[in-house]
Amino acid sequence: MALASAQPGPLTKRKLKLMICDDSNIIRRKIERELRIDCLQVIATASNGKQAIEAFRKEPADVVTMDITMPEMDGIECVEHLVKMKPDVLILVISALSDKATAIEALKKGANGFLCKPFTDRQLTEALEELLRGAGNVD
Amino acid sequence: MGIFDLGRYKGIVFAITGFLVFIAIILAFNHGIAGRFGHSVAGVKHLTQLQAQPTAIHEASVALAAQLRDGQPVEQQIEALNKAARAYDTALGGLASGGYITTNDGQTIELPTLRSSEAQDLLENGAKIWEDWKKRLAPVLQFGGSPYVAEHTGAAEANAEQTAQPQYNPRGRRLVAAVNELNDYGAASHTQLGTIMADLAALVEAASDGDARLLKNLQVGGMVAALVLLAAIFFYFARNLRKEEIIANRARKETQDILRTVNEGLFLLDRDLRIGSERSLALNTIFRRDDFTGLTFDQLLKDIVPEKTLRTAMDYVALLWGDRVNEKLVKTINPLSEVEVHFENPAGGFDTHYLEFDFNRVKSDGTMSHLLVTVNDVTKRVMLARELQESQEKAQAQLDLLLRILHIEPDSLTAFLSDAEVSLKMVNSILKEPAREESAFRAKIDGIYRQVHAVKGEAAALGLKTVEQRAHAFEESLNDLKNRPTLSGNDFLPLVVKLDDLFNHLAQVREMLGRLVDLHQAIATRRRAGGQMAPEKVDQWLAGQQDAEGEAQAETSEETSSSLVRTLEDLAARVANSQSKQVALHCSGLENVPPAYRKAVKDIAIQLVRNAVVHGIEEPSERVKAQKSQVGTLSVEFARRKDGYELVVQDDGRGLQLERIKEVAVERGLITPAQAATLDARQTMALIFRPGFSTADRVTTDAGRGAGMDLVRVLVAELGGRVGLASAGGKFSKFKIWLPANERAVAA
Repeated sequence: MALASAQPGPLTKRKLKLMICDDSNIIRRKIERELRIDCLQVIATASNGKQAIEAFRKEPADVVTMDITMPEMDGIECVEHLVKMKPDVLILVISALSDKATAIEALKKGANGFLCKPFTDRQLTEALEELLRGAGNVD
Repeated sequence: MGIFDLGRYKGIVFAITGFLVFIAIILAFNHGIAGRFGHSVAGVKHLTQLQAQPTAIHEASVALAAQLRDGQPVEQQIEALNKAARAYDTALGGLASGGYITTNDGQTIELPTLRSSEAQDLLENGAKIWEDWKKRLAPVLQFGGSPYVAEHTGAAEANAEQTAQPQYNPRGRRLVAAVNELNDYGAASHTQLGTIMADLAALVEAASDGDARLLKNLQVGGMVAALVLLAAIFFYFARNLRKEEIIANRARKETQDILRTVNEGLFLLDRDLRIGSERSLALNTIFRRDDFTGLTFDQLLKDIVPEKTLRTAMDYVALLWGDRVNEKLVKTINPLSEVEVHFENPAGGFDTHYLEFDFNRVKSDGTMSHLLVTVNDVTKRVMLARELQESQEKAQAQLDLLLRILHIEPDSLTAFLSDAEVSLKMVNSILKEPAREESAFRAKIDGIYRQVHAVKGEAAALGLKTVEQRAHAFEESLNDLKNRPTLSGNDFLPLVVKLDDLFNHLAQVREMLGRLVDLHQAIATRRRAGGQMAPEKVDQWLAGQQDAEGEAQAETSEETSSSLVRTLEDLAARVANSQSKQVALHCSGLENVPPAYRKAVKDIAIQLVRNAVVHGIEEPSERVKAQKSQVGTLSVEFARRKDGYELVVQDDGRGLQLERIKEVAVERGLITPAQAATLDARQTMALIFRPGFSTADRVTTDAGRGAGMDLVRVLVAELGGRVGLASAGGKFSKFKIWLPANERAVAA
């Protein structure tokens, strides 16, 4: 433990693949730009549920950030598909908090956490770290 | 860890183990002593048997002597003697060599008692005697064959009684001599040996008695010790148990104290969402109930929150029980983080409160056992936040309004304000109109709607958002009423509140405008006087405070009347301009308006002036045709009469067109065509005072709402005055308003 805490940054087991799913180009870029977690590596971005599933089929991500309101296929349905394809995928729903019931619906389908839009880079980092910590990927 | 982790039972396990070991040791001793005791008994028996053997040996040798005397065969007797002697020798040897004896069943046992010096002395003595005896036995036992002379054998048998002395051969004589010697020795020794054995037996028996006593003592002692030990263990554990109970009780009391005192509502939910038995007392106050026994979470909420909220909340709680979601990452979507709840109150209504729920997973041994629920009544906080927000919004709205007012052309704003006020007064009079039938109610709604909609449109055009919003809210309520299947008078009551709100708001706008005007005037006055306006003065004016100088200025009737004249002139010019007409306004006597009538006179004059410009004065071309001056003339006169006051507004326009008035009244459904036919000139003129009457084709800012004349009628009636109307086609219209002299009483 002393060794681990002496190292800079969280002690990671391996590089984790991240997929960003949001219909807003600005939000996608914001997440990519503000990602401050060394063990996460963005492998794909998607602007709707369908794209996300296609990308996921090609290369399944370990962690997904997911918007709820999107064209083609919304986040709730997409979460359901992703969890079916990979039960241990970690999904952070990132959405505006207009309707708590909708957010809860996404969590019922298998998402692991929720981050409220708008968010700061610090909030994003903390939420993702908490997500990974909860799953035992980061000490 | 593991099964050797005895925890708090360590003490009792050690105590019981120790106790069992103690009992085992006692039993082992017991067993050893009991064995020794058995050996002693066997030894005594053996020694008693041995006691008889020397006598038996002696008797056998005596019997041998008798047989020899009788001349009988001796082989068997010698054999018997030999056997007895050998047995005795073996037994004695065993005893002497360390206390070994052989019991009847052939078992060899050791008697430690026989190794004592006393026993050894006895044994040594016995062995000496036996050794001497054995020496005398040896020649006898070594004898073989017959002791008698050979030919005499058969005769001796046949004539046993006749023959007194048997005939011995030489070996026989030696045998007889040896037997005699043996018998002599045996006679003396066998009792000695018997006595020795008896003594030994007594020794063993004494040792055995000692063992028995020891055994008894050991058993009694063991039992006492066991009891004492047991009592000690019992005492020790009873004390520990009491100590633990005291600690547990203290802990329980502390928990109870906490739960009784803490301000938060605290309770645990199990997997079935049932509320646990330990909960804080504050819960009773928060939920206004005393009994939570067996209550589930949804039962707790179902009467106080809406169905949808309940469902969302239950979904959320179910999520927390699952292991997929991250507890910390779902706190923001807790649907009960600030939930509005309604409690029935004894008066039959509802009390609204705001509760804040927080959920925390309780884990034991890595698995979730409970949800800890914390509840707070945050009504005060929420209310405070709302008040703050409202006041902020209000301040913002006022600022917006002020900025907006600064951007609006003053004429448009004053025109709007007076129009809006007219409209709202119209609404008020419509609301007051008695109505019983459904159709009348519907007509009322339509009438009010027209007015409010016009206000809304104008406010929107000027960008007065706050006014527009209120008018819109009013419209919404009207729409709501329109869509109701049936209507009653009570349905209109909420409209009164809305109307009041609009009135107040317009008054605010007017007040703000007034302050701006005052400020402007004050600054202008100071400038003229060459002075500078002190900043605090500006603040005072903005805050509605006027210094004595300002007040005096505002109070002079001259000032007021000149402002009314200006307003009327502005109005006439503006309306004329928008109607492409030309008009010259002449005012007189307005400075004589008593203060109590100022506002009413102003309102009435505004309506009559506007009405005259719109409806009375013709367009310049038409006037030229009628051989009149292009510029229409309009006069407003106020004068004191002997029984009151008189306001006369007269124009030189086209006059009232009676036929047109009738047509419009029929079109607007105010009268039937049949009624129209029967109306005389006076009755026809009265139609223009009816609500909703207007001859204008479309609603404009200046006319068309049919509100103006009705308002005049209402205002005059409120003051207890009368309206007179005279008109000549193509020549003039003249409105004569009479107001009573005792204006103060009426105005009050």
